Amino acid sequence: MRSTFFGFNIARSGLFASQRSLDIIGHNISNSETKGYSRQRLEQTAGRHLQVPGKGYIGTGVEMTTISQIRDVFLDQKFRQESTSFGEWEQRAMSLNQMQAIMNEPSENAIRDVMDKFSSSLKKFQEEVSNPTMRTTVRQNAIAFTNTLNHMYGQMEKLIKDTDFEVQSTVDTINGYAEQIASLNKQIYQSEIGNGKANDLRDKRNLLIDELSKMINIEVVEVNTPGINSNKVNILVNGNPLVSHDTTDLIVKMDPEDHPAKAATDMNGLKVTNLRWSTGAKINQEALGGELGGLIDIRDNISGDKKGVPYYMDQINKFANAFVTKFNESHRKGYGLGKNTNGVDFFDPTGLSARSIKISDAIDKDVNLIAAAGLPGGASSDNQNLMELNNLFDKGFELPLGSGVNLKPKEFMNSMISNLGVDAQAAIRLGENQGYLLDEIDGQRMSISGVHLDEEMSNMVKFQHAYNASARMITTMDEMIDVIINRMGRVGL
Amino acid sequence: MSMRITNSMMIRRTMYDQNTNLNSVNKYLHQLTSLKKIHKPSDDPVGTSRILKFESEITDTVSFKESATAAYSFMDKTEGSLREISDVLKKLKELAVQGATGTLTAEDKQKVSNEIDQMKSHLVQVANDTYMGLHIFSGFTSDKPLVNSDGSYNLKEVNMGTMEAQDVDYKLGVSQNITVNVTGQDVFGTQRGEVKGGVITLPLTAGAINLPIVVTDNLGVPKTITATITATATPQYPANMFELTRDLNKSLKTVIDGDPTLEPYQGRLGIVADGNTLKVVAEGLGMDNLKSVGVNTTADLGFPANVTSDIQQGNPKPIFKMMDQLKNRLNEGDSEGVSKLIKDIDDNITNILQVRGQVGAKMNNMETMEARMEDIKLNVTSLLSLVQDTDVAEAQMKLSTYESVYKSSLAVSARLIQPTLIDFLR
Repeated sequence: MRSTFFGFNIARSGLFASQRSLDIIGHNISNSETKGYSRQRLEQTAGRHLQVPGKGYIGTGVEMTTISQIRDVFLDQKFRQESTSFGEWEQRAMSLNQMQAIMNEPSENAIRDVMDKFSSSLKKFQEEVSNPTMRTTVRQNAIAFTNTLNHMYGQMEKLIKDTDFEVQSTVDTINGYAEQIASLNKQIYQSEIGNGKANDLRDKRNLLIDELSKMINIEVVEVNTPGINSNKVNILVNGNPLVSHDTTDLIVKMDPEDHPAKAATDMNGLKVTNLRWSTGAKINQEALGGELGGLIDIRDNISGDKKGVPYYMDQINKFANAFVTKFNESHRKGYGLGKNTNGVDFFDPTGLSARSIKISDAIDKDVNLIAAAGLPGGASSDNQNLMELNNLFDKGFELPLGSGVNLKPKEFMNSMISNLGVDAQAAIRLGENQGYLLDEIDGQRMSISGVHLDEEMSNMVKFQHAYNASARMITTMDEMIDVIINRMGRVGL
Repeated sequence: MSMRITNSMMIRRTMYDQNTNLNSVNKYLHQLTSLKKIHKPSDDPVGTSRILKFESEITDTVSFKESATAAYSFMDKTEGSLREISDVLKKLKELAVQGATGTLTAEDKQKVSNEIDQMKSHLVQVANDTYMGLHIFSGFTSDKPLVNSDGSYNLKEVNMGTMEAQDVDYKLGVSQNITVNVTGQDVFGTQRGEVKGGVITLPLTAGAINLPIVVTDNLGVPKTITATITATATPQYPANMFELTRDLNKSLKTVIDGDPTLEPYQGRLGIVADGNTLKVVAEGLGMDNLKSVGVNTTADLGFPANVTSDIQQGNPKPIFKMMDQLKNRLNEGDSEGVSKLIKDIDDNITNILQVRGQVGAKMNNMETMEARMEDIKLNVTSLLSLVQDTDVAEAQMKLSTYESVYKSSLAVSARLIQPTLIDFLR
């Protein structure tokens, strides 16, 4: 025997399922432009059947199983890998662009021009070594030259300090994200303890992990506990758990320490912030990747594939050192105007780096000490020693770019600037390519997870009809029961 | 299977493309407004390197060209002075030829004598000629006059001992130097003899060394004087000149040519340092009469020394001395002596012509050099422009292309507001 109200239940289940689907469509439409949102769908199956003895089985309507989100985990993984690389190159390109701005070449008022002016004033000087104007011009041009080197060094030092500051704030952001993820992990785990998926929390977490992957190279590991519906999510950095389900091992900023390249080049007083895990374990700062890795490379690297600012500081330091040593050596051989003794340094012999290069006090006070003459007495037309000084510019000397080969100062600077150009160009190009790749992957993700309004509209129509049909079903049932209860057995009344 | 496309995907893609297009428009706009196509090294590292190189090259070339011009002006002035000397010497020769006939009256002699005085003071002026306030014939000591008013060298202030090496060189190229000056002794005659090829290597141990110097006069009579040299730890010996002693002076005087007008000798003998080695040098009036100066190699010096050589004669007949002689001989009516001097005057004229020839050749050289520098500058400038400057026509064309691309992408964007299903549902 069939129950009288059996059909009502079937229609009711259809009614409710359509209603739920319409709710979800509404949720999808509302979130169609929400960042990180993945479209959701009601999973439904046919209801559990009943046995009709001797006849087989009869369906009992529809059953709602879960509300699922449509998302491709593989694409997430891919996106995060490329995002790490993108973050690193983008950061590198930005910093190298700043380096290019410091070099300010090609232009009419940067190191090339200043060096040329110094060299040509020395050339002009040979015609009138007794002319005080010429002497002053040489001195002033030398001062402009040393000032430019000082300034370049200062700017680079500032860039390192700024980068250090950025490292610190990036670490803060990473730690913040790690804590948010840990707290979301906890919420998600608790929400999912019964059944189903906490879709919107998961979206939130995925978005945070995406952001985190741009800043640092991470590995997302999901750990399944047998018998429990929800996985625990760990986030590893260099194998160390930054997030371990609902706990974190944050990155700690240590007190400022001497710059790691200090031993190799003169970086007086420059301090940087190094990092370690809150457990006290060391962090391999060279393998962090992402924006943080890019920043640390720029801040610390003196050599290697990913040269940072210290490389250029080292280069101009070595240049200043060789230049001062060589120039003084030649200058000491000569005699000043009307001077019987030689051995005067043109540049301060203690200023052997781009930071400290300056002309000597003696020359600063008395331009007549500029040693143009080759013979004692420093006669008014004796310009023999000047020839040697000029040769330093025209024939060059051994500069730290490669040993055994003489380089002109301008050739050295030139090669350093092209080097920077090549580096910056590579970083910009790789950043762009990586950005394009990331965009493609994100497009694929959106293609799968994004809300398509037309689709939602069609579904809306679909479920509205389904709803209407279920409602109609109830009306039909109602009419049937009405016939039985109210009209049956009234014959002859 | 075609890809599932959502509205926000289309919007994103369009924004991305539009931004790319706008970037291209911006790139060519920037090229056209700045007229440069390289703004930072990463735009074109090789191009940047070239720009820097060319810019420096131009600066250098301009410097070298200016130096060449300065050298030319200096030599132009020198050439003028040399021409004046030539003219004076020619007139002097006329007088000498006149005088050689021996028919001058006392009045004539007075006139000629006055004329020679005039010429001499003129030559003194020429010898002390200046260019931009500097004496052109004084070597390095260009702030000091070369000769005194009596025609003798200004030995107090001008170092004739090293005059020969006092070449004022200008650097006119990476490895191109030119000597712009002509030293006084090349023009007016040497007053100094120098031991050529005589080199003594002194041990660097400190302490005094007595160096016997042998002076041989024209008659071949050797005289020895002893020079005491103090070697210092550094291998740069100061110039060490010795005033001739009265005794030596006397003995020299007896052997030097019998001209009684040239006394007393104001010469000096000495040692001049040349790096680690020493040169024995004799200078001063009358020294050109010495035949050789050297070190007595037979003396036991305690170190190897191998020096003796002929005195290198510059202009053997100093002009001012010759003028004095001519005046004296004319006054004395020594027509034979005057005749002899004509030969000396001729030698001097030839000498000046030679020097003028050298200067002239160098001036020509400078002119060529200036022209060449100008050429190089033009070439490099056009190369620089090729690398650095925007090709306006090309950039304009590209700009228009990208502008229309951008405009059409804007037009297409308007269609992004596609009707959706919503528009058809009611």
